[in-house]
Amino acid sequence: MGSCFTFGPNALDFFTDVGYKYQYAGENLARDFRDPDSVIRAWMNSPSHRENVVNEKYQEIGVAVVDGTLQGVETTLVVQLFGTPYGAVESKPVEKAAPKPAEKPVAAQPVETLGEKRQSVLTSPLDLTKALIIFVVGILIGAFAIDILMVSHRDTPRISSNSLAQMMFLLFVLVAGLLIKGGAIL
Amino acid sequence: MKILFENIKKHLVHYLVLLFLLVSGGLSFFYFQRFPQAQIVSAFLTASFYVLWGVIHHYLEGDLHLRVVVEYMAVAILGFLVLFILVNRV
Repeated sequence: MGSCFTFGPNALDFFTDVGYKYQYAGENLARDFRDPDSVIRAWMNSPSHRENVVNEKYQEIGVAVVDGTLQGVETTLVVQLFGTPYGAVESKPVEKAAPKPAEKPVAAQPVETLGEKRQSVLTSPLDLTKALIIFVVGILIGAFAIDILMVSHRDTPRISSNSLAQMMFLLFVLVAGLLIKGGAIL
Repeated sequence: MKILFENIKKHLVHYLVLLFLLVSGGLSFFYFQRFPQAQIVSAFLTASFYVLWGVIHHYLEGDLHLRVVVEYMAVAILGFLVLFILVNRV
């Protein structure tokens, strides 16, 4: 894989592009994680990605971390490609698959019907934290806005901090918080 | 609203300085998005300068009291903690 990585519509095209004839193939993708532990944790917490990682049918693996373009956005991608060369498990294809009813057909099926193993984007728990924080900071901003209006309306003299400044600072916090990008697995 | 606008007009330089501090803090926070430690330092510095701005602003206005400083510090600590938590969740 080169240093410039553009993710196409079919992830398993990479196998055919490099002439890798596979019997089984799969792929895990992650983007925008800051450390390897977080990527592995996210994959292992996702049943479908975990299935790729622990699947005994895969005999080979390729891993890459590249800066590239994903869906038109510059990002850092972590790619795991799993594969078993065509004919490598010719002698016992069914016996190994039979005791595991939970296995998905992607990994278990031979190359003729092999599909790619891509899932929709799974968002990280960061989004929930963000939503909660936006809610709390939003309430505070609202409280300061009401305070400004009340004081302005009633012309109340008082000793306190400057509500407009507090609002400006909280807006900074809100915008900075929204700018934080979390990792996602695909 | 009239008092608010008069207040902004009267302290326009103060608010412009604050705006500059906050925008600079926001930009550095965004610039260091791949470096969480730098983001935390950016948030801490912005919060610190914000408190400093509040102290100087109220000192110049002649209404600097402990309560005012505590209010600025409370909001600054809250803001810093929010960003600290978010940065460490990534």
